[in-house]
Amino acid sequence: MNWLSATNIGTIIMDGATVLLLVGMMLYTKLYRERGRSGDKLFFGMMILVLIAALFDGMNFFLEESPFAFKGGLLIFGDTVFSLAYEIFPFLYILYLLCLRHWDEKKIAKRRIFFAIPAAVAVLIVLGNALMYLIGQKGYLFYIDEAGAYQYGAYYDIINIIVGIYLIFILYELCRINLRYLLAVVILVAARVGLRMIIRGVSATSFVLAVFLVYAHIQMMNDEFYEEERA
Amino acid sequence: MNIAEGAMVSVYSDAMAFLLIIGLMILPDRGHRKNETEAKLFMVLCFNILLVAFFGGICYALRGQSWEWMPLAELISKTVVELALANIVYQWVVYVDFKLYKSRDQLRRRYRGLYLPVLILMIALIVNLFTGILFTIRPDGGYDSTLMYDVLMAVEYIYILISVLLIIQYDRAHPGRRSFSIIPALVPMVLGSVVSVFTSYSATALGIAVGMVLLYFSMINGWRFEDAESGYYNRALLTELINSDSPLVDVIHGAIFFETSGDAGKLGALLKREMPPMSVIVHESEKRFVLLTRSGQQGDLGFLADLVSDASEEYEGGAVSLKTKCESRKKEEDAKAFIRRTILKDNDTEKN
Repeated sequence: MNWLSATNIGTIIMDGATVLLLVGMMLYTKLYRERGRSGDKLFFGMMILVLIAALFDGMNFFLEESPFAFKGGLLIFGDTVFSLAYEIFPFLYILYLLCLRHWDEKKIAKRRIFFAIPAAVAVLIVLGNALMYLIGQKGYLFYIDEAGAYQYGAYYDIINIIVGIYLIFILYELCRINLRYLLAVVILVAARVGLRMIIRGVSATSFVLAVFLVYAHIQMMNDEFYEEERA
Repeated sequence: MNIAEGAMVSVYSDAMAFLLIIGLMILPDRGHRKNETEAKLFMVLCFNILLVAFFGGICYALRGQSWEWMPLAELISKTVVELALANIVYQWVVYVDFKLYKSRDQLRRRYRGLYLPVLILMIALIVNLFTGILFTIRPDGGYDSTLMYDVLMAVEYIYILISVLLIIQYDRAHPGRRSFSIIPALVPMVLGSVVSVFTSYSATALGIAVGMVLLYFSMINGWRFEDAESGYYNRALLTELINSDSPLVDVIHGAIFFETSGDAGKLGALLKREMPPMSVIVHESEKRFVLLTRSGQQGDLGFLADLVSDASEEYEGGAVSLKTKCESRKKEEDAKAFIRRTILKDNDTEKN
């Protein structure tokens, strides 16, 4: 595996850490799944999404510079799945925050349609990019060039912009939940953006998403009534 | 600032570890848990990991820089990292012991001596700042270590081994009694160390941070069985015992029922003092305790009940009055049935 560069190994380490974190979280959140409220289902859904994102991200970075002839299609498939998970995650997260604020289900259902619009647009954009690959055209988000190398397309930042839109809503909701929770998320996002500017090659997106879940879990367990409620 | 490609990975993993631990330190908001010994030990560990992640990241970020003061800054950063790591392994053993036995007196008795090797290591690290007896920083970054450094670092692994031995010893003495799982926390810690030892990338802080998060989750998972005020198990444990395949069921064969019209806290303290260490004390309702025991023999249960009755006479004016009920439980199903009846009876009492 001489083809693996240091930054690719770094990403694989981060994705491995994400998988460990999520598997551990699944062990300790068994009760959520058994309880089965909307918030519990959302949390479980987010864990699965991040797990999928980490696995496909790891696979992509493993294959990116590999000599395998079949890697092109796998890279596009892997990045499509990763991007879909990356776009759907903030949509679920914002619904989860509404659950944390004890909104009733009907009220959340009304807002769900509004919050789903950016995610739906993002899903169409990502699937459209995959379709471009299937019909042999150059993708606008990411594509495989003639030399067989993975390349970012001209409009790759669209998916980050959509996540940025969600982030504004998320920060607004966090303001209303708990300022410490807000502070932790602001530090997390600022650190991620700052590191991305200094260190370009390593991808820690899945890990950062998993940290979002860790923070959400700790916040939920702060609820004074939670211990008795679970019993 | 140009960071070498290999060092980027370590900086990134340290930064992520830092973010995880920051979350663990600022997000929990449980006033009644804040002053508990376990929470304090956990916070000390977190603070040390924060130091390792922060100064470890600086160490790697400085490599390859051409600034004049770089070797000195790297030397100081690495020393802080090693000091914090030495403290972490010691605190880890203390934390594991406290998680198992919940005894501050035991910590005081047993762990003074264990601090000595860590203290020697710390002194050596400080002396190293001026003499280079353990490691020296190369002008282009990175360090050259001496044999003494490797020997002293091996001490850290001995502490990890001690913590594992403590758990094995506890599990042998009290099968099925351990209320927290250590494996999910240890796996990322060990993997992080393995990556750091066998590759040129540092994932030690990241592994420890992920392990600490899982340990915290295990801790809050266990809190639902604890009464926040008294610290004993609560009624939720009884419900869990009859609803699930909890390993505790395997070791519970008897139950004694205590009621008091006096101070429930005194009765709880009395039970804790008089009962064998393997029995489980459940603060089932405001004035009632259920003691779950390993023996289901009528004779044993009667003896234990008499023990508490006699001891209660120490309290002035009969502050604690007891009603005892002994039940022989030879089979798991009988134990579950007894607990179920206890809960139902209590529900009826509340209704009336």
